[in-house]
Amino acid sequence: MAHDEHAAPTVPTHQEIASDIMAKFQNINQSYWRWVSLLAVLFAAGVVGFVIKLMAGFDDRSEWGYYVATLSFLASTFLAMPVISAGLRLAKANWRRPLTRLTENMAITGVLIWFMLIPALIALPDTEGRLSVWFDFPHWMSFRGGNLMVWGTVVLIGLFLLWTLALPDLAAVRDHMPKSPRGKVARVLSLGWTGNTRQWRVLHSGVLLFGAFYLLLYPTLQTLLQADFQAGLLPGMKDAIAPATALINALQGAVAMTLVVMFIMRRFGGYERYFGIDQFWALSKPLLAFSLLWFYFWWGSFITFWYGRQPGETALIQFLILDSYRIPLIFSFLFNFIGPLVALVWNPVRRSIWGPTIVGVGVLFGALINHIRWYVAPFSVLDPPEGKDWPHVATLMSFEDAIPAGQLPGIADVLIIVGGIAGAFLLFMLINKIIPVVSMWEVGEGLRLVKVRRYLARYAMVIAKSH
Amino acid sequence: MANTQLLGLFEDPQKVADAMGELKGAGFPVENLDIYSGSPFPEGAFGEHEAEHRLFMFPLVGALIGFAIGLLWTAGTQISYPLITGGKPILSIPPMTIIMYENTMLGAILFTVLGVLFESRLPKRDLGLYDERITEGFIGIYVDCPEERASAAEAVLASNGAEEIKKA
Amino acid sequence: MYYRRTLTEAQINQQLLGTVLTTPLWWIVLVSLLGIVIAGVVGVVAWMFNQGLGVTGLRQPVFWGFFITNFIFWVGISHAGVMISAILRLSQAEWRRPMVRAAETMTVFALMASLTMPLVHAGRPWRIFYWVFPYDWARGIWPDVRSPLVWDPIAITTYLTSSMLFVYTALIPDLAIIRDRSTGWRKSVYGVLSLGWHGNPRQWKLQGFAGILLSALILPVFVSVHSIVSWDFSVSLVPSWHVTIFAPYFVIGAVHSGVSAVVTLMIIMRKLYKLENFIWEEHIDALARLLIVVAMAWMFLFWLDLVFALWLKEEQEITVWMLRMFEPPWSWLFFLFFMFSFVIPVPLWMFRRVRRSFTWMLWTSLIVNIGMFLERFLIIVPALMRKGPQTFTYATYRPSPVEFTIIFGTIALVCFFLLVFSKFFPLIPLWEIKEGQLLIDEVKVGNARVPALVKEH
Repeated sequence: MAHDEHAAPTVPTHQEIASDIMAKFQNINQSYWRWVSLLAVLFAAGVVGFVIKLMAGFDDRSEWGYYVATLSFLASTFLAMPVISAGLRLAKANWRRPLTRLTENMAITGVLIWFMLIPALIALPDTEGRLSVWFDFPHWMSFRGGNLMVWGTVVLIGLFLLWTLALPDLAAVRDHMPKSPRGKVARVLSLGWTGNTRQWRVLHSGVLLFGAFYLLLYPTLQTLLQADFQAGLLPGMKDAIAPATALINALQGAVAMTLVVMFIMRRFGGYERYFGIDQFWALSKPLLAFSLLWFYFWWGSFITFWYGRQPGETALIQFLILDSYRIPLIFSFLFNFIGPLVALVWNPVRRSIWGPTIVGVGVLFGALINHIRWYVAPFSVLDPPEGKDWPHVATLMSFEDAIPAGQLPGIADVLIIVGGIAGAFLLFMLINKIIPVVSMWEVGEGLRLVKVRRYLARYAMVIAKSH
Repeated sequence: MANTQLLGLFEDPQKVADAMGELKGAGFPVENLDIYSGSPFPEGAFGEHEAEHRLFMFPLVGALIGFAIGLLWTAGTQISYPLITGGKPILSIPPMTIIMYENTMLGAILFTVLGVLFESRLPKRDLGLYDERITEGFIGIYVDCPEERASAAEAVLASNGAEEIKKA
Repeated sequence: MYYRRTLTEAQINQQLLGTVLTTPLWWIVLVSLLGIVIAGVVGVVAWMFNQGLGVTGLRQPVFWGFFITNFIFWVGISHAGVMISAILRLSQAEWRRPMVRAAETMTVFALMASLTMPLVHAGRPWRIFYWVFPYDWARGIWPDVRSPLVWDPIAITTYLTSSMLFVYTALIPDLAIIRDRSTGWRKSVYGVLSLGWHGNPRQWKLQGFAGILLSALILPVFVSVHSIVSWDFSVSLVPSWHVTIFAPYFVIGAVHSGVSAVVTLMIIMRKLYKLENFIWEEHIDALARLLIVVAMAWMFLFWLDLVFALWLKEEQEITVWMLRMFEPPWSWLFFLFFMFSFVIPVPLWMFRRVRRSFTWMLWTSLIVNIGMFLERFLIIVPALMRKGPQTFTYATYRPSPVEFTIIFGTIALVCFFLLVFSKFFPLIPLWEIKEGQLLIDEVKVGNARVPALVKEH
């Protein structure tokens, strides 16, 4: 915002922005193909790791801990990004316009995530005799079918949200590149969009509905993730706050991933004009808020167990916090709470490009470590001995001699982690060449609602809200 | 050289901006000009001097003091009356954390308020050259200048439509 | 939000300082009536101290009843101030302007009302200081900082102090306005209170920073206060209390009831003080939409509480929930709580016509608070009634007329404080309203003129 009375800030036109974004969209250069190739190779390595796991079979559940941790990490970062889009749209924040498409494009990673869910569900034991939110429903209907349905619905709604919001830009691609293969794909996907009043009205209503459904269903996904893949495998685990903790952590991860991806698009994609200081500054505030909430939700769980001192609770604290997984927790603490707090409390750090990005990278690293702690730990707990049922109110000590030790990753585990993340980014890169990564119509709409005027002795930006 | 003070009262904010521009153009240093208004205008709206401040140090200092008090209090009381309750250690960090956190925040908030008052140069015992119509919508331009330049300042204020010009 | 520029500064001063500079008859009548009610309640409290807690319904096994429920209720109401004021200030929501001070003030008085409850509940309140106040009263005995009952007063005191400072700091420019409109001893008093405020750009800039900085600092305090109150319950081993979800569940419930209370307050204020020029349909519409989001989050956490309570299939936990949900009269109260807190208001708030109707919003916000009071009651009492399988009495808790009187007394107390406050200080911040009007503009898009705001940053 200019305080210099001699220099009025300029507002570009919709046409300028549309041309610029379309030019970037049309350009597929060597650099792009190098990145795609690299990601494809890493994804292939992940597939190799997965095949190694498949060959080992599902008998030893502890082999699948890192796989589930990867799945959970992807679901709690990439798949949480449309929540950011839906939330910012509800709040009618003007600064969101350049970045919403980037977050919505991440919905495509849901396809990979859903397929990754299938082996994870196979690795889980049946609910019979085990604690679960399915409360002894017949197992064919319960957790495997239920999870596939819920996760699948979330993924589908995310894709519909993306598609609906992309219709006007797909029409633009159809009109600008009519003869190219991408133009032909856009012709099919744009459904003959012309942009009349009725279509815009339906688009806005559809976006509202899909956004609301996504916001309502995503917490359910996190609840099932926590209940089935963590709590249900840990005897004596009764942690009602865990799904809410997972949700908050997912939102933190989504904001961090948005910042990191914006930085990458700026640096390597030439999108500096769209992912500017306003976007980084604005997103740094929710990142700080979610980092504080990270600690708050973790503490809510810890203080209850620590004060309760029931045998089951004490064993779980030893296992997940003080003993076996102490090192991962310390890392998570540093990268998900202490680091963001210390860095982002300063306005000069928040109001920069590098500050939030570096914090975001740290948050993502901490999140991955935290997911490893959450899911490798329960998967390393043994099944009860032959003839013994899973006790309902038991502790880890009921049928094991000692608290299980922390489990380090094997080569296959590392390949799966790297491959999973690479696969998600690969899908993102591919979808960016079908649907432009910056929404031309939303940015254009925002530009129409902005003007610069002289305000007494200075220039000021005047911003209207679209209703 | 003795200084004098003038206060020009305006109804129209645009005239205030114009008068400020002319005063600065006439060589009156911007640090010696001030604006009085009954409601906040966007920063720089009148081309006034933009104040530097160190408000952000205050909550940091207050937080550190609060943290120290919380730590002394919780650790000190537990050590001086070492009673094991519920199997917890004498210096129990989780409950200490809660009280230390509250004291840290209280310290930060208290010092923030002190900082706001200090940086606003409040309290001020004497209102000095002031007019009650400022809180009714008038805007005042306060000029602190050498006596021999007072008439020039007065002329600028008058030519830009000041409703009244008060002198100290 | 449609931004309207309607009044000059002088008109704003005149309309918002009406009850400060003059004293309407209705104010005298209301304050007198409330004063009489409060005096009566004080008498009842004194009688209860004299006779002992036996005159209440508290007895084995339920020793936390209406008083503790009311304590949590008022702490919950107090969360509205920070929710409205701090969060909306940080997100620069324009529609916050008419309601910030009323919400912050309600926070202060709600906290004061809540603090009376543990004192009343103790039966011999003079003994409380020995175990709460951080001083070695005798024999080297200090407060046990490991007890959540010690965390409570510390947290509430911090929140109360912070809220009072927040109110005062934002009040300074308005105190200057009153100073300039007053004469005689009132001018001197307001002169001292306004600290010599001039309204120069430095002071306004720091006032703006104060709002943002204090908002950012008070938000973590606001989250911690009700969390600490919730830990009074969850760190114990009472079935259905010892759950990890209580902290965010209590906080979101507090926000739900607090924001509803702000809606109630704004509508009543609008009527009593004739504030139609300042409190519009758009404001309660915005509050209602906020309430929908909050209520949804509350429902998610309630559902988690229920599901994970039954998760371990512990017998005592199931017993408590069965008592709450299926055994009369608790089941009737549970039904009422659920209907009033969520089932009735939230679907109604989905309709624009309801959100923009002062009558509908008044009634829905009132029933939310009735429902949330019942919620706290249902958390506390049934759990204590079935605390253990060998609880040696299955007596039911029945609140006595003494308890009902004292509860209604706290409502009268908060209303009394608010009315007295409004006599000396404006409930709507004048300078914020004036600032809002300065920032109004419009953008022309085709033939449409879209309301807009000047953005400083």
